[in-house]
This record gives sequence, structure tokens and C-alpha cells, in this order.
Amino acid sequence: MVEKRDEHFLSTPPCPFRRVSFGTAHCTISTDNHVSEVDPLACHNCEVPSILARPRCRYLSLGTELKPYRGEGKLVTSMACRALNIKLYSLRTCAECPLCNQVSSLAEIIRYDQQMVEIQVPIRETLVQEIARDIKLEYGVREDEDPPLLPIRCWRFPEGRCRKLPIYTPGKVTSILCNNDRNNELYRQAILPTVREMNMQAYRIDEEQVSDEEMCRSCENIQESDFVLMSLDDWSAATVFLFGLAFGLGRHLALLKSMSLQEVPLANEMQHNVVSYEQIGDLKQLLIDQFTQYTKPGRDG
Amino acid sequence: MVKVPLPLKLNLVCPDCQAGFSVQLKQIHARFTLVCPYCGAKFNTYDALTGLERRRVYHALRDRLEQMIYEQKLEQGDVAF
Repeated sequence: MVEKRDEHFLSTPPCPFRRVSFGTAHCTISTDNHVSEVDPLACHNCEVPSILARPRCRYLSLGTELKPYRGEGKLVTSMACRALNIKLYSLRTCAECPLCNQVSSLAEIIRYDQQMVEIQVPIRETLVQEIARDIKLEYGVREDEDPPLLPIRCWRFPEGRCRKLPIYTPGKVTSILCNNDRNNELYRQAILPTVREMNMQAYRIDEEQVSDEEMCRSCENIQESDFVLMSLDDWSAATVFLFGLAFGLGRHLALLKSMSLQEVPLANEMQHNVVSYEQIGDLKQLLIDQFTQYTKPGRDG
Repeated sequence: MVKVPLPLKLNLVCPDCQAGFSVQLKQIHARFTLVCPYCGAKFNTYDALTGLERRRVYHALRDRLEQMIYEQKLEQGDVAF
């Protein structure tokens, strides 16, 4: 009967690409960004040491596909040519290639390529501005003077106070866009990604403003919001009333207006709040420009 | 200027004609404008960087900007510990 003993793995082949850090061994040429840890069994089943043992072309790039390896069979070695920029499936390709330039130690060449040196990279001013804008968007710290929640006289019920007790929520963006294909596309492709990018909360009211019930719901959400988005193209008496309500409450208003559709009333009078767009693709940037004038990265600006 | 560790041999792509070429790192140290060897277009080093190197420069610059904002807020006593 064979006596069982612990495997010590002293026969693990040496590899120039294996590094040890905090009690773990890592493969420095792993093709996966997140998986680099290796155990001796993986190294036993890796073909890289045998490839490096013989002179190889200096343009041969090697990698190990650790993620699909489950301890059975051979570890897959990825190969590519750095001169031709093509993936290689066999080392026989190198033997047939006219650019083949053999070196005795490919590992030295690969390690030289991985060496890093610190240099000064001059940066153009516009890049600094772009990054400053990214930081501004990410943090989205608001002005000190948040719009106060003023009690308004209820327009619907005779007692004159809001029965719904709205709570002002910083960063809430209410979009009042009735349910149709154009508005759905606007909301899905431009408004929602922009609001999420600016770390704000999106809320949509997709009912048509036809009766006091829908208007009451819109009014409640306008009171709770920081920003209100409405479409000038779907204007009606009810929406004009809601514009006024948002203005009166001191909320930031963005009125969307498609350039391809016919002229609508109020577009000139309220032009500083009108966001005119030609294509949905442009609207995202226009909305960011419209919103960022009310947000800034720090209190000191 | 931002200090960034980059590989000794750097692959660049001309933003104008999209031609790829490689340079040694010391050749671009502190150099504001590079000239494409194929089309002669002038461009900033950052614009010719690709992939990982471009992200490295971006994040080095962003880290520095965020540090500057933090220091300024610290001076004004605006940071809570």
C-alpha cells in the first residue's frame, strides 16, 4: 500500500514571470485583468517555461489564460506577434515568418518592455478643464443656498394647504413627459443617462396632464424636486400652469424643444430655460450644460 | 506637467492619420508637441497615447487635481475628519 504524503511542489519549474507578494504567487503575464494568482499545479501545467527554454523570436508576445483553467489539462498559453500584430496559434508560424529575429532569452526582452520609468508628460489646458468638469460632475456638490421649501397655497383643495406633505429632496429631477414614442426615447437615451451621470435621482411622470389628479401629482413632485424637465413640444394649458408653478417655487427648469418641430408659444420668452436640440444624441450634452450651471465641485467653487 | 510611470518603449498613434509608431520614453520626456513621422501633424503627447498609458496619465492628472482641491479645502478648514 502506498503511503500518502503531502506534496511539496519542489519540482515546480522556475519561471521569470512568477512573482510572490504577501504570501501569494502571481503570474505577471496573465491575460485576465483580475486573475493573476497561480498555484504550483497551474505552473506545472504551463507551457511558458518550455517555450522560453529555446531561442525564440523577439517579437513573440506571451500570455497565460488563467481564468478558464480549473486544474485539469494544460493551461492555455496565448501567443501573438508584436511585429505583425496578429494572434499566433502555433510557434511554427515564427519559423515561416521572414521577420523572425531569434533571441536566446525572450524573457529578458519581455521584462524590458514591462519596465516603467517616470517621466514628465506636458498636459494641454483643455484636458485639465475636461478633468475638472468630470470631477465637478462626479461630486456634484451643490450651492449653499438650496431652494427653500416654501409652503404654497393649494390650488386644488379648499383648505389651501397641500394634503400630500411633499418633502424637498436635493438632487431629485422630475421629468414631466407624457407617454409617447418620442418622449420615451428622449427619456431613455438622453435624460436618464444624464441624470445618473450627475449622481441625481430621476423621476418621471408619464401621464398626460388632463385632469386635476395628474396635475396634483406633478405639483407634488415639483415641490419635492431640484430640477424640473418638461417638453415644450407637448405644451398645453396644464403644462403652462406647471411651468409657472416650478418658477414660483424657485426650481431649476429645463424646457425641451425639438428644432425639427413647429414653433411653440413661450419659446422666445423663456429662452434661457429652453434646451433646443436637433438630435437626441446632442441632448445629453445640452442637459449637462444646463444642469451644471447650478452645481459646482466645492463650496469655494 | 504631470509625473507618470510609463513603459520604456511606448506605442503611439497619430490622432490625425491614425498611423502607429513607437518611441523610447526618454524621447518624449517633457516634450509638449510631437510630430507624426508619417503625416507631419503636430499633436500633444497625451493625444497620441493609447489604452492603458492614456488611462495612467488621465488618472495621474485627476489624482493631482483632486489632491489640490482637498488641500485647498483643508486650508479653508472645510474638511471634516
